[in-house]
Amino acid sequence: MKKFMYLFRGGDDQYASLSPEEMQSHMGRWAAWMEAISQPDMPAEGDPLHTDGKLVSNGGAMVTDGPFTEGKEVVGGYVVLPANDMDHAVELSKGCPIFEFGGTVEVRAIADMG
Amino acid sequence: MANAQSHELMSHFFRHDYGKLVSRLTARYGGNQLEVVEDAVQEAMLKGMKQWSYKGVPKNTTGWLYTVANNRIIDQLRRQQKTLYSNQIPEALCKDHFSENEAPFDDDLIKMMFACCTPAIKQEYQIILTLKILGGLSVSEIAAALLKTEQNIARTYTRAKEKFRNIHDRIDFPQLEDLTHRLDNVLLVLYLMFNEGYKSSSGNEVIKKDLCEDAMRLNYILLGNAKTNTINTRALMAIMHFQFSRFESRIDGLGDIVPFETVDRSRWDQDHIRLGNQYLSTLPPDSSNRYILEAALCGLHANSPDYAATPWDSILSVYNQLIRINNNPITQLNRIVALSKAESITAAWKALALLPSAAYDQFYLYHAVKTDLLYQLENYEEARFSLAEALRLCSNDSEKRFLVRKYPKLEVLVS
Repeated sequence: MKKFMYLFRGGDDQYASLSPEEMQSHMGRWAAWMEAISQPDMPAEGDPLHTDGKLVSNGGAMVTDGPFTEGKEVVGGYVVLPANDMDHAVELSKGCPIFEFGGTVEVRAIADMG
Repeated sequence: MANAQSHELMSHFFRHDYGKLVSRLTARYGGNQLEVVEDAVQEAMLKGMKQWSYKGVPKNTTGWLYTVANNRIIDQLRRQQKTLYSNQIPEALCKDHFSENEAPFDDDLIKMMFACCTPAIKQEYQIILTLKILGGLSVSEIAAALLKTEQNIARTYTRAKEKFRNIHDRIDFPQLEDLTHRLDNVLLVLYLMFNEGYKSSSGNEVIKKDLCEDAMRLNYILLGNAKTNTINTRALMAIMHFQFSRFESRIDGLGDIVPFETVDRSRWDQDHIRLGNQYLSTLPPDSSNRYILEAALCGLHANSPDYAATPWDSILSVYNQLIRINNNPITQLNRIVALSKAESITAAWKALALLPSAAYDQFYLYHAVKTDLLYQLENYEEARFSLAEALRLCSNDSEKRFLVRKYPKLEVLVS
């Protein structure tokens, strides 16, 4: 199995309007999905990211607040997971609960540097 | 979070924590900070939801949420005070130790119930505040449960919150002399909350079951405190358990209402009936207490093995006591149904004729009972007319379908 990475964007505006109950059930679906895309020897793992950040360019000569002006553009979190190939990784991403709230998933293969 | 059981375990903790946290923090920072508190708790939950989605749920979720919300409030208050150039926040408010022990929350929740159910504000406001703050329901969920529009609930909630802010700077346990009176109010709101959930009218079934369970949960908290564990609290608990035991059995597989006569009683939840009986057995006989009488009524039905065994004589005599203390159209009409079973259709018909029709004409139930009696007296022509009135006044589709199916000989169609 190869390693892939999902990058999550968007959905934040709609998250903010959820009721406690809806948050909870959304979280439950998220947990179930994470479980579904895991392999016994390699669980899917990830983290949410804070919305603020810095963009470093020109070897550190330029530090800006980053391209984080629009909620849609912000990467809100990432998950690393095992999959057979790109098609498989895309297929697995389709169950991601972020789609309920208009977010997107970018699927990238992680290059094996070993 | 690795298996179905843990999914089960965490069921509803967000909603329940919402009430706990808002109560605790409002008790701490004062009723006039309700808005800040609500925002902070909502934000803490949002943060939790994002983080826990990836990482799994921490052991002490309430503590986690409490700390995040509390920090957020302090930030918020500091900012406000900076702009107002007023005093510093007392150090004591910034320091807080949080225990994993759940029990202390109960007192905060009770205080909050009393604060929401103050007689100084309209009952509609009391209910909405209770549902929103203690039940943790969203505006749209409240709208679905109370059959109102979202805008209507949102507006009412804003107004209720304003009133709340003006009345309470502190959230306190009521003084003893005030307690009994205020407790009645709290119980009435819980009773109404339960009924909203229990009504077989439209609305989201899942939310409605939650409403019932939330009302029971809050009532249990009252039972846990010696000052609020009263006869009325226990009687209400008995009512809730008896009614809840029938929750699932009332609707068939197609979503249609099952007539009480033909309900499959094996679907009644015996655990709830047992608990209802337990609470009922702690009550003294008191024919002047509405809750006790209603608990007795529910108990008589719940403990009958089948419809034919229903002790209509006893039920009628409880209704006779009930209308003496709580004479309203709904009780009157229910009594007449009991009368038709305990004595005769003719006796019931006579009693119905004695009711002032001007006061009852607008009640859907009046026409439904009238239809039923006329149908049994085989006066189909007048029954058809009554049924049309009942259908006109009934706002709920499944109830309309129910009525039409119940009287096939009248050949009335739902318009």
